Amino acid sequence: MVRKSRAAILPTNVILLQNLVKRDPQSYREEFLQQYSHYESLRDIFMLSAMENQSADDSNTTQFVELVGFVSQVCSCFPEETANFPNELKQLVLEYHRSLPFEVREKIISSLTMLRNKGVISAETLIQTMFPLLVAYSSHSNALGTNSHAKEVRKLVYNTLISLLKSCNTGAKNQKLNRSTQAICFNLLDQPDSQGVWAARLTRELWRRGIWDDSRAVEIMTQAALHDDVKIAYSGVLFFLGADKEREENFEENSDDEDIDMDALRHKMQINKKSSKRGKKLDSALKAVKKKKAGPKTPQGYLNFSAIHLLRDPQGFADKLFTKQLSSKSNNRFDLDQKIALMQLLSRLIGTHKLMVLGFYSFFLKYLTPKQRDVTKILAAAAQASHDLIPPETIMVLVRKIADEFVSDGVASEVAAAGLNTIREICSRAPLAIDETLLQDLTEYKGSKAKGVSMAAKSLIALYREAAPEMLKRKDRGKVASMDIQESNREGGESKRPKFGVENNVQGIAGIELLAKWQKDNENAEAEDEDNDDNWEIDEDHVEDEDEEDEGEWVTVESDKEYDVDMGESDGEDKEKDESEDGAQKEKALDPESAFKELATSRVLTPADFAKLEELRTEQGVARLMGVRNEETVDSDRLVGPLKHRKSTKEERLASIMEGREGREKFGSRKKNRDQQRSTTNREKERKKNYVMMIHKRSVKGKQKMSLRDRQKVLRQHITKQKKKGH
Amino acid sequence: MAKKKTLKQQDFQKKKLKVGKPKQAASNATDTSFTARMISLPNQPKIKTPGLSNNTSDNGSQRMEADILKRLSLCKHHSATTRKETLVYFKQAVPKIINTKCITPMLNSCLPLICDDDAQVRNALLELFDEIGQHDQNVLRLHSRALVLFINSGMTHIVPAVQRDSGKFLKCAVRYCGDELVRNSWVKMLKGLFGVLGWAVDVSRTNNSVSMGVKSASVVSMNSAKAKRAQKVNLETLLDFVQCGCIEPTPDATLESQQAPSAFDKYIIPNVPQPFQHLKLFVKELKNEKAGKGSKLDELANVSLQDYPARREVLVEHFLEPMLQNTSSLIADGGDSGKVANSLQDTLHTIKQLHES
Repeated sequence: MVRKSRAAILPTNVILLQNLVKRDPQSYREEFLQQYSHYESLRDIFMLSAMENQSADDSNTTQFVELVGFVSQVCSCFPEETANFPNELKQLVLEYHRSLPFEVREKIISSLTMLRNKGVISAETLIQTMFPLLVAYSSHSNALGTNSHAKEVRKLVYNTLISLLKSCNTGAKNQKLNRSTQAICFNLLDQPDSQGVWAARLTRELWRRGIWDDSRAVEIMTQAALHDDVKIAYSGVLFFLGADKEREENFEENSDDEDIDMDALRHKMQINKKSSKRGKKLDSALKAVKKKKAGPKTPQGYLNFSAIHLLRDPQGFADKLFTKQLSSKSNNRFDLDQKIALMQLLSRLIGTHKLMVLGFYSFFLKYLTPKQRDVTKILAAAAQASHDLIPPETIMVLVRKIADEFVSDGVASEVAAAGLNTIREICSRAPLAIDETLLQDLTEYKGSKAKGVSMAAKSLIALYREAAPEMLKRKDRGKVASMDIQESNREGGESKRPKFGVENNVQGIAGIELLAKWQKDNENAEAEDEDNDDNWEIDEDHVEDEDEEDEGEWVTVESDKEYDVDMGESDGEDKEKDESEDGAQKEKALDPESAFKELATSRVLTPADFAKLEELRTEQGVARLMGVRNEETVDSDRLVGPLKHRKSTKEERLASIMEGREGREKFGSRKKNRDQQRSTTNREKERKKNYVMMIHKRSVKGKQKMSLRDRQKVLRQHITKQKKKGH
Repeated sequence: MAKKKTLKQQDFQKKKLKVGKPKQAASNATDTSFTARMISLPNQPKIKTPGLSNNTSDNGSQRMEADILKRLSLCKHHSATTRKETLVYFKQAVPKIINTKCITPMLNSCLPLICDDDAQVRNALLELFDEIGQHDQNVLRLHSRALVLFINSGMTHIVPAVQRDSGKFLKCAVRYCGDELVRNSWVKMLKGLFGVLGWAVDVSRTNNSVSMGVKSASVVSMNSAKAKRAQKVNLETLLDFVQCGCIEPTPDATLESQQAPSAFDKYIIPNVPQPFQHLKLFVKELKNEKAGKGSKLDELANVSLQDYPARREVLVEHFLEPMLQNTSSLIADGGDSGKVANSLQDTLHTIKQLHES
């Protein structure tokens, strides 16, 4: 007993002392001071050995690591004495990191993180320490020693940075810290060497997690995409192409973790025997649910702006991207995949913001041959890059080239289908990009024997039936379009053929006349229903009221105080409707302007209304003509059209083979099992044992001599046992 | 069964070697080959073997040097006996290698043993230092900075035995290179000794805390025989150190007459290995941003005090009061340490007089 109590107060190792100091800092002040000065002496020893380039002692290293941990754990108890401690750690790791052993470096970094978490040092200080380390240990900096553990340190520092920024941005965003970090990122990107890759990586990761979602982060990536270094530029480009998708996936993953059914748990608690474990389970579940509810629905409160939408100067960015990276003389440094990524990004930019980069279209010509690797991706980019504000002559060159190279009798059907589909995509965005003769030539493929080709040609026809039916051959125009044309010819009005420069954009809300019309129809139907209801009600009550209502306004019955206000309103509307119904016959074709005025002034449109509007517009086929699809990406795989017998890749073939083998272990080879090193089990031994050896055993003989009753008993037992096993 | 038998027998048959074919590998042979860009053996430093010349005169000492270098790694051996024996061997070798260049690596690997857990090792190390000091004081003077660091590390060690023994090392060091010690690390060493003795340096500051300014360890083990013995040694060390630092040696009359005027001194080769150490030209220290805020004592910790009056001033200002208090209580206790404490007190009084005069 005596020994034990002594051990409790006599700290013989640092861990024990740490525990004691944490419990009662004042009483153990002297011990702490002793250890602190021990830390100081060890630190001086390390610095001395660093000066003389010797490796420090192993025992010293472990001690030092222990002490650094100890001091940083308890230094919040002694703020005066350890005022300089964080600063010392910072200087040590920044100036002596080359000569310090890896363990010490690791410990110092984690201790600094801990100090930040305890609030001893600010997040800015930590970031100012971490970034130089990240740069110093990036793979390109030379003259790292043999045992530098550069990779581990990099990983550690990087993870520290990410978790720091994450913890600083939970709840409310720490804009000050974000700004300063972003400033560091800008500076890194300004440097000519490849250290900017860290800025790009960091920004991408933080974007993926939804921690950074402002235009400054996007601006960083803009700079990265325009960087001289291929790696950095490529990572910047990939960010714009894929980061938003990644972010969405990330949040989807987070959101669909297991939903806890609280009601079921509560019910279980009532029914089952109460135990502390179950109680804890319920508590933790309750906590989890609360946390989920407390957190914002969209994590970090981010608005779903994609990076491309947050660009500050899209036109300038696209211009620079094209002149500096893609079409400059030094573009040889990019390989084909990187060039394609650049093309995709540029075309997406142009499509989304309707930019003008006129050189881009002639740039494509070089790549548009069927033999070109990954040509579908390039075709998709070409389609994406076209929109109705580009002069048609510019795109026409592109279309002509595609038609020449891809769509002829000599090429494979997939190639022709891909070409036709691409032309359709281009023309859906810029209907003037094709001249009449070429279009009529291309539509001839509707009779092709290859399904993909004929489908593509027909879709082209369908597109132009809506866009510009005059350009099609007479027989291709279809009933509705040709009737329209005839009518307009008769009236002598000008043709509805689209012209370049004449914008067909809409005032107010596109397609609102459709909504107005739909609503009117519906309300009429509803009104009839209401009338019916009224009739029913009224029939039940009094017949006189009906007469009164029909006759006029003076319905307000004073004795009936709880009269529903809504009813009164609907009455008013009914009247209006009656009036408008009279006029409905006259102005059946509502023009959009008046419809907009009518609807927008009378009520507020709800999201449900907009959803309906969208639905109606797609029904009408207007949406496609309005160029709404500009923002949608063109899927390069879909351009080829449906394939009946696609050659499967090796992985797919293997997968299908493995699928066939499932559940057939018995017939497969036991090659794998043979490798498993194990001794035979007792059961196996029992089974393999020689029959002759077993037959004279009592356990076997005894079975024969058993009485009938015993045998029955054993059999019964066996049966119940087997049943319990589930056989 | 027959098949099994033949298989078994095959194991014991000798494989016939064939001409032009390599020997067949055993079935249970383990492949130990690996590829790596670089193999590092951090605890096996590269031995720079001195070129083994056939000159008969150098041969003996060179072989000795090579031997010493080989044995350096034994200083980190896990067995305490081996470590001790290595130190004993070094001690025997000291007369031969004292002026060779292998003394520096030897000292570098021996110094960390000041904090060794084993008492025997520490004793052997003390003897080694003593031996070195007797042969050439300048070697210890040259390494005084590292020595101070490790002694200080021992003084603050968490294991009480190591802490107690650090006084012995300091005593030995004071004997041979006292001048360097008191010049460069006056405050540091005094603070360390205070810690070893369990005295509080600044009583005034501790009154805001509950602690009595005394470590719990020193309270518990105060009365053991070992502690008493160690206390006596440490008091002696303190006495030596204070005397060395504060009281000028009475100038020898004969030497005085021989010595030239003081200005002449500066133009001859100094008799200490590092005369300009105090300038700290080749020493890196961490910046202390909050230098103004700490107590005065903290500022002094890294300052070198070159002359006696300055050291006396520091001593009187910061250390004299607690020292007098503690020595008086020790004198009251009596015993061996009481005697030493008495002489310490006398010395302190003379220092005070010197300071006031």
